[in-house]
Amino acid sequence: MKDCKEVRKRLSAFIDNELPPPERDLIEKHLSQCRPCRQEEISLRNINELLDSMPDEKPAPAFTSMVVHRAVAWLRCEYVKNYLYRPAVAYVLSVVSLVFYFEAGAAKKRAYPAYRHLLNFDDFPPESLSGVYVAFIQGEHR
Amino acid sequence: MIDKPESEVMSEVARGDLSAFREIVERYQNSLLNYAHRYTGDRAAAEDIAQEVFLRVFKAAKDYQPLTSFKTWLFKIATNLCLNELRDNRLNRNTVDIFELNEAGFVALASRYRSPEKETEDRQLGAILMKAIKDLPEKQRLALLLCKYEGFSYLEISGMMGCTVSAVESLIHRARQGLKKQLTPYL
Repeated sequence: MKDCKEVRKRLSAFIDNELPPPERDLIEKHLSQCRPCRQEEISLRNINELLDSMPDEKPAPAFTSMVVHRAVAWLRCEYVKNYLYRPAVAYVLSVVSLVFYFEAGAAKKRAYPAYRHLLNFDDFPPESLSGVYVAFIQGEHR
Repeated sequence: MIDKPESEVMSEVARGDLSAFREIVERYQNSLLNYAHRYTGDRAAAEDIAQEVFLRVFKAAKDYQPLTSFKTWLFKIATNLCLNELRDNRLNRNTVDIFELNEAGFVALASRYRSPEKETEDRQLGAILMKAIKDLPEKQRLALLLCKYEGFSYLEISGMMGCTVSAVESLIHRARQGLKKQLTPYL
């Protein structure tokens, strides 16, 4: 026969049907003879019933669509990442970047004479704001 | 119609089948949302957690091994996320102490848990239960929710929470004792 302290410690497991049959029988036997322990068992079962009365939350109607949408967005990211991480793609991108870099430098050099030509434009009256500006810029480049 | 076993559906998800993924979401959205909601007491946080769980399932579909049941795996992810959420302290964004509310505030809080057909008394009881559960220490709360609402055995819960079966038994027992203290006036 189990004592009250031991029985009460195992009452939750008893209620949840988690005890092996021999122990379960011992506790049932104890409960049939001990009024305070029986009372404790009833109050724990009542707690369970009270928890059953808790209302359920319903997911928002668009919940599934939102989750699937996020999954699709992740799939797209993964696809792009996997594509970019391929060695051949990385090699081509590097070459394109280098070509672009050198070509941009060359274009700048080609554009510079035209820029100078603009700076030499001296139709502005020297006292006008544009004239002062051109004089200032030319002074900087000298 | 008999549902396909989850392992089969997951292998379709792993091949990128979105309709299979939709099926998984539809099967488990109710229980996951309620689990997270009862844990956090916050509808918005619960939806965030539930969405994140499904997204992780989708990402990990290729690595999924049906060694344990799919539901156990799913709720293990959810349990970890709930614990992380608590660690990040993001749950405090919407905590309310119902004993500090006036009558109007109480009814407003209770209305968050209502179904239109339920009586006011049920709504208030729902809010009180939510508060009582939320006041439990987090591990007691998780163990109780997994056992009471999701029907997991102590062994399965021990696997999810990374502790022994007797520790789970103790957590659930202490959770029930804590609820008994708080809810005795309503019994």
